[in-house]
Amino acid sequence: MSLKRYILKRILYSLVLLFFALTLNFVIFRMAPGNPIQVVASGMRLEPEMVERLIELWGLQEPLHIQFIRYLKSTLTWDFGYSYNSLEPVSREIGERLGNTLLLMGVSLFFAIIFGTVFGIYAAYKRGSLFDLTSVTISLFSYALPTFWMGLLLIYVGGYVFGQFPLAGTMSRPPPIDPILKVFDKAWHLFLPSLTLFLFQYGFWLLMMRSTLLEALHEDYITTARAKGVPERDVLFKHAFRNAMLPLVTNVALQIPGLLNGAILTETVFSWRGLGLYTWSAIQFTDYPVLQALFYIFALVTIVCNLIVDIVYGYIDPRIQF
Amino acid sequence: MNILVVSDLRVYYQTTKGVVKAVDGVDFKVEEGTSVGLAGESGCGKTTLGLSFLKLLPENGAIASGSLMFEGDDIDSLDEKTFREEVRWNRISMIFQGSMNALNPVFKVEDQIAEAIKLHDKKMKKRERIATARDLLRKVDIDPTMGRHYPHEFSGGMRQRAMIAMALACDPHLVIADEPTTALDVIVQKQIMDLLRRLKAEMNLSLVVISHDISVLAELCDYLNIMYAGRIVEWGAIEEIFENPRHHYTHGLISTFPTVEDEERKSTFEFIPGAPPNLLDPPLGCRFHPRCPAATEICRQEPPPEIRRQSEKHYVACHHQRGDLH
Ligand SMILES: Nc1ncnc2c1ncn2[C@@H]1O[C@H](COP(=O)(O)OP(=O)(O)OP(=O)(O)O)[C@@H](O)[C@H]1O
Ligand SMILES: [Mg+2]
Repeated sequence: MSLKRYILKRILYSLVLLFFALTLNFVIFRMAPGNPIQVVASGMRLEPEMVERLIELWGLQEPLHIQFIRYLKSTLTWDFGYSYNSLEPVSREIGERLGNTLLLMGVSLFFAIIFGTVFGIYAAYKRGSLFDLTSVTISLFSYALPTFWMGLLLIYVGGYVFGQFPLAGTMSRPPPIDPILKVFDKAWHLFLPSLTLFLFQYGFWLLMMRSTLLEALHEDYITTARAKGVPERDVLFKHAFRNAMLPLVTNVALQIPGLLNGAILTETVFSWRGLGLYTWSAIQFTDYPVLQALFYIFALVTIVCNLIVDIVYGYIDPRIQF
Repeated sequence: MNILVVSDLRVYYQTTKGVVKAVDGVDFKVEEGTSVGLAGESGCGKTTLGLSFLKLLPENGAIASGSLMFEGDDIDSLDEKTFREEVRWNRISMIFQGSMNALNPVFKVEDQIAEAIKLHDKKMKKRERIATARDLLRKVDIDPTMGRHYPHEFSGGMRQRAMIAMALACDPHLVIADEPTTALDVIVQKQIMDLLRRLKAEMNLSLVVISHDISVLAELCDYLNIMYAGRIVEWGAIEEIFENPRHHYTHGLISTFPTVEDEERKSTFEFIPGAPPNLLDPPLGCRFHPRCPAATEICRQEPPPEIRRQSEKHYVACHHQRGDLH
């Protein structure tokens, strides 16, 4: 089978998976306690006509299968209905926050992978040295500490003790007008949350890289490379690293859901206006349309990441059976 | 002339349980253009000895004493860089035990062969290197277009051939083959042995063949070393060893592996009782004495016997050699 057919198969498989995720997402919220009208109506007294109108607006009077098909159609067209809480369109609210979350996750993941793998490679190269020992110890620490605790600590140190960084928020209020200053203002706000999320991941990457490399270094083909006269640097960076790349790529996908989890905590601690904070407040308000949309997006991200990894794997691992 | 002369070599591994004396006072030599076998049970130190010729010992292993002279150079005193650039693969190459994993799974076979050429012939262009790699594949009876494929697409026998092709890439003077046929089925074993024999004749190679299967060595080698628990107990021309084994261990080994031509021997199938000693704590005296039918007090008390001349092409290390069978 060719690479093309393999990729096609993976895409098809992902679509099936997506369908299941969508169905589950529908069923869960139908079975969840409380009906939306009650949620919205709690705290305010609604006229019966008003309730009627809401039921009609949200299509709650239709039979379930019609509701399901409508749900599929609207979800796929990025129309998630209205927030019970703000009564704003969910897609707009998500759109405003998605960028912030991607920025936070992207920046921290990028640096965590770069620093984690580079130091991991170096630690493997200098195994048993003081450098190796300290970086492993630090990694174990940063990996094991709870994210919210790390976040609070950084707020205390960076925002209070040194007073250099904002305690919360995504932008200064009012935001600077000059576009360059705006970028700086964002980066300034981004620093502590992304550092928190960076520390959450960095240790993982370092330890993972180090151990897969050390494992690869014990393989027979490494002895062959050395026997051929390959210099030690190339033994590590070419022969061992190319093989250690494979678990690295897999782990990027496997880490994303965990990273979302970390992002929710980090955004909450820092009041970073992203999907994490949005999830948190939606849970507080039992805001079903928002939660449903968010769960869908999280599932989508996970499925797409896995698909990308499968495809990349097809290119870099010659042993993949198409 | 001798291409390789090893004298009184000791190679020790440091482990948490103590020092493993994997090679403990070995003399070994390879005459130019000959093929020398190294036989012995699993764990007696054959691979360790082979790896020490290329200074490729695992991190916890080191040469404790002794000398290794290769084409007049003292291997142990050559600095790392010179040794890597001038000796490894260029003058001594190795076919590894378990070639299944000896090729890197993520690189094309021809690229792995070409890499060896590149390391030792900096002037050659990429295209020429690949062409040379394909010629080498042809030489070991692999379709040269297979070079573009990855090791997992090769069968066990083909991988072993590819490994042999790679070992020949830089026209080495000495090739060490560690268990070149183990884990292959009988027909493929035969093909690989024929190939090695043919290449040796064609390229005027000197060859060290390591195997626990003495019948393989019988077919490939001119001389045979018998190793037991880190020491060479008998050395001699192949026919000397087979027809007139002087060490009781050698005798046991030969009876365990009847050669194909030697049908009658099968009837006197004799196994060596017991197991080889733990090299962390080998027995005092002759290492073989706990399993030896002829052991006496002197074998238990005296230090291990030195290897002594029997005839021009036969040396043995035993207090009570077996009598002449003829
Ligand atoms: N890296 C190592 N650390 C500690 N001990 C080792 C190491 N490598 C080998 N040994 C020990 O040294 C001894 C000799 O091992 P070696 O691999 O040289 O034997 P061998 O004769 O090649 O055996 P086989 O036929 O199984 O390949 C064995 O007892 C083995 O357990
Ligand atoms: Mg071995």
